Amino acid sequence: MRRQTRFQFLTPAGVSLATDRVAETDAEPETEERLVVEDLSPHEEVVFLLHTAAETEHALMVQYLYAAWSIDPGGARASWRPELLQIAREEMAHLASVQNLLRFVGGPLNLEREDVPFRTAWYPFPFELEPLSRGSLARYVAAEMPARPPIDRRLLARIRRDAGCHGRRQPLNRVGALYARLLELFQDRSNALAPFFRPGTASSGQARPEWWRADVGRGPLYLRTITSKEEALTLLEDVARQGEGYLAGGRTHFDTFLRMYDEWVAREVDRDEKHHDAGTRHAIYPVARNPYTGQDGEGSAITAPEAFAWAVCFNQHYRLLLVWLSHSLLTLDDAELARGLALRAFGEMLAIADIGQLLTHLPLARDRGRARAGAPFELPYTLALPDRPEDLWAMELDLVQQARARLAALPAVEGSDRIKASLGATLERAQRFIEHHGGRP
Amino acid sequence: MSVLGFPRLYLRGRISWDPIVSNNGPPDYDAVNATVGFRPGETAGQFRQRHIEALRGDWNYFGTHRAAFESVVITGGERAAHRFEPDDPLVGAPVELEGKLVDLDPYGVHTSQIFFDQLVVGAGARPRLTGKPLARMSSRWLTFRRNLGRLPIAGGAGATFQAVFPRESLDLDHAGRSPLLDAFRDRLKERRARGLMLRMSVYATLYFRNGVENRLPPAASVAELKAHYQADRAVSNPAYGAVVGVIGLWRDDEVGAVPGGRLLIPSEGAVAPVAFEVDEPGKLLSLDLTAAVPELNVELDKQDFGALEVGWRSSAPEGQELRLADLPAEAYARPDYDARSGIIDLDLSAAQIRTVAHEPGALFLRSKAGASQPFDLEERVLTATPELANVYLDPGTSWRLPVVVQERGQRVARPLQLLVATYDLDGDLTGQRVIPVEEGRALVEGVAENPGLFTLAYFPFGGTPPEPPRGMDSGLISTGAFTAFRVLPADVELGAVPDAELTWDLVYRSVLMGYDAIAPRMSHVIRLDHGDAVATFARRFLEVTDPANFESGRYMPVTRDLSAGKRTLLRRFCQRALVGSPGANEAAAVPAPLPAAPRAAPPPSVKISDLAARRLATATGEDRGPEGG
Repeated sequence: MRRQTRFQFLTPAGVSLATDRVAETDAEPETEERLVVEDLSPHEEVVFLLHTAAETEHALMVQYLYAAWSIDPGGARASWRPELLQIAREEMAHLASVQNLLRFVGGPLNLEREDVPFRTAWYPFPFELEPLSRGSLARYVAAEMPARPPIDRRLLARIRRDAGCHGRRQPLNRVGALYARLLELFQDRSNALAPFFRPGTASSGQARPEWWRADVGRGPLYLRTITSKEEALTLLEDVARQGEGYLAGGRTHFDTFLRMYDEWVAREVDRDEKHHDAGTRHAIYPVARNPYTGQDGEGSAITAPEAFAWAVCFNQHYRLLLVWLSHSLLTLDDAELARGLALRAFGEMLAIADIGQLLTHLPLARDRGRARAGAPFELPYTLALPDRPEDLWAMELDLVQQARARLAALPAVEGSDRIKASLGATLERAQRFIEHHGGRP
Repeated sequence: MSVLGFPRLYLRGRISWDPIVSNNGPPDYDAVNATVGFRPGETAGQFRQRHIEALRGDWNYFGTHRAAFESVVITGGERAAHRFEPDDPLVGAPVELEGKLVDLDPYGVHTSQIFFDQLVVGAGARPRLTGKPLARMSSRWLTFRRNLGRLPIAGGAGATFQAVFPRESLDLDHAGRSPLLDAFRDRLKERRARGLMLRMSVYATLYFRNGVENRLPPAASVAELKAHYQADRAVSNPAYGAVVGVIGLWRDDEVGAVPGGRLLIPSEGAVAPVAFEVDEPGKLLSLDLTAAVPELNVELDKQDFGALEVGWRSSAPEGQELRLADLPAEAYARPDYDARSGIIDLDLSAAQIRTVAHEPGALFLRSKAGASQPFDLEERVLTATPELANVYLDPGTSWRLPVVVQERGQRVARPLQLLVATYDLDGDLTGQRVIPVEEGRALVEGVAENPGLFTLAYFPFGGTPPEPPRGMDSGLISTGAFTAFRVLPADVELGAVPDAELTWDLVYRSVLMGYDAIAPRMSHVIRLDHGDAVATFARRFLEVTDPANFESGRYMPVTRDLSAGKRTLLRRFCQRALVGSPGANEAAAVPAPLPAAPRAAPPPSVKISDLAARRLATATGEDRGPEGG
């Protein structure tokens, strides 16, 4: 059994900041929480927290994507859809930034993610693929909240109540606390980290912003290569501020989610605007919570044959995306190849966007009324890659050929012709790419 | 009404400018044909290398064109005259505006535009105002004497931009918690309110600010930038300047594209016009000195012209002057300027306000007799205001452009005419014509014939036609009424290439290679020299090159010089790549060696008149219409 690292978000007085306790009162916490990790050296703690950050960013990205796709682009909340998608992109850049920080401190990369039903105490809130709702917005606000949110106390209390974790006795943590601790550790006042710094990885091993369509210094897609402690600190600051910043100009995640939550609540309570209530209901597709394709799971089984086939197809492309991403980040000595692999990952991002949106229109099950499916985002049995290059290329070719073989059998539904053609083109380019670089096994 | 009416919101902060300047002249760029000056056989990579080696005055080869408010906040507001509200919840709220700075004429200085999608005042769950602009903003009242502190490059320049936001595009949240926002909500219900107007003055631009105003890799000089480029670091180097502005109501009788209404025109000391408005019932004269008084230094201290006199010069009897009010120097100096964005409200008597509103004559604003620094502006009685500031056209497109003509801010019944003068790419006067003004409006019409750039300037008159300036001089640029036009090439033959010949090589060589060379930052977003990348992002290309998105900050190419034929070729390639058509996908899957340039360097800029014989026979099926779709 894997040894569990223990840590908690505590006030200095030792009171847990789990949402269930805080939500019992309207009062703001009097003191800022601090993150306490036990029994690890500074380097181990940095790697551990960066792994936690990577899994958190990955999970948030997936949940925000799912929520964005649940918004009807022709409905009353249409303008939120691109805003949520943009935040998901920014989380993707954060994920890549965390990988660069791991490279810089000589830690192993990590593209894992929290999954249903597994839960560990350090994630912001229990992972849940769910349509956008008052409750999910409250959770997003709470997760991205600064330590001392400059907002009305009653509003803060309502957000905490709506976040709704107390019913499940699950804590709700701020992502900012994680980054605050990382910033503290990277100050490295005792020089304990310095021997682990690997500035050379900036030119070999770290994700380069121009390969990932990111910016160098101004956002909104924060991703930089890191050669020094100072650069690590400024990158961490940028990532943290983009999440929890407020009233500082520029759109931050906290600001955006707070505005959405506020508007949602305002429309619900304004009795003079009943038409808006109806608009709100119809603005969000009735997609499933935690849809899955497996034999058993915790959530909503996708059983309608059309949705099932497309959901399996989604999982294949999600897996391909993670494989290309890993392969690119693990390619150290061939910049052109690493950049080409990044392009393959982008191809799969576009593919899962197509399929994910299609799934929000397909019935979840034959007997479930209006309920629709959704992107299952099921992780494969492993994210480990073969360590011999020829085996890795062979595995990728196998995955691509599997996905191509399934294409023809995908059931035709409204809008699927264009998507199938586009998937076919993406996979064909991928196969040619593998044949060009990796050869046939 | 406009920004000089009530309510008003004042804003102030920094603005960043990140354009490329590599297309600012021949031989690297031919603005008429919208082509890059490759040497024979040169690749984009070789062009980039050559450009980086030379670099000269290019301070931003890897610019993004981004123009954005940086730390701009609401400094105050007024619901009525003399009721400055420093404590409204909107005060201190961030103001967001992010777009792209693009010169219609990349060689010139007077056609800057900001394409953007949204203005946001406020944040989160606080009082908040959001608006979508009717169209891009265009620079006017350009001066190079705004800052007298000898700031490098264009640091001495100042310009005014204006945008309008239709009522139906506005969202006002939590207005009940902000008296200022609540006042806007009430006034927007009035029949004559069309929406909101933003007018802002930008000035005191500072260069090489990386590491000071942002976290981009520092570069204190062109030499240091060059070192970055040579080390394969594509560092953008945005400039940062000051911005002050005001948000007010946009009324149904006001042109949105450029500042209009009654104007004082500078002759001495002042560096930009002063718009003014008369509120007869309120007995109030409001003057917009946002752009008129220069700063002395980088600290932005205002030049001291002493007390100023506001007066009226009657034309019946001719030349008789009436003193209306005195303005102490403090009224236009900081900190008042910072707090109220340079807008000054003066209470007049009923008789005075009647005179300014109705009598024949002209308002003036000047320094007192004997002042060591003279300052003098006088009203331009007849004004022309075009409804469009900058226009892109495809060859063969017919266009009609209304120009509003007013006398002391009113449409007049007496016969008036409009002299329309044409200036070519070099700013030389090449023609003039006179058209009638009917019910306060003249309709300028034409057909876009040849690719090229020209400017039309407007001079209303009632008797003898005026003599237009021989060239687009600084006076015309800083105080004149004009519209700049860019007629793009048609490139019909490229749009009509048969499917069998539609290859990646052709698309790159004919369309993308030029951008890869002249605006290399684009290749950091999507690699333009890589068929696989272009095919992978085919849908993105289709979206951003859609003519329907021309006014959006997301439109590509940001330089807006893509001809209809080239756009058709690129979009056809992308459509084919999207569905895996033979040819597009195969060619794109594995990048072939890059092709060399197709032809020798084009001739340096060609004047419109020289192109007369080159009229293209037909336009493609993707014409944008008179204003770029």
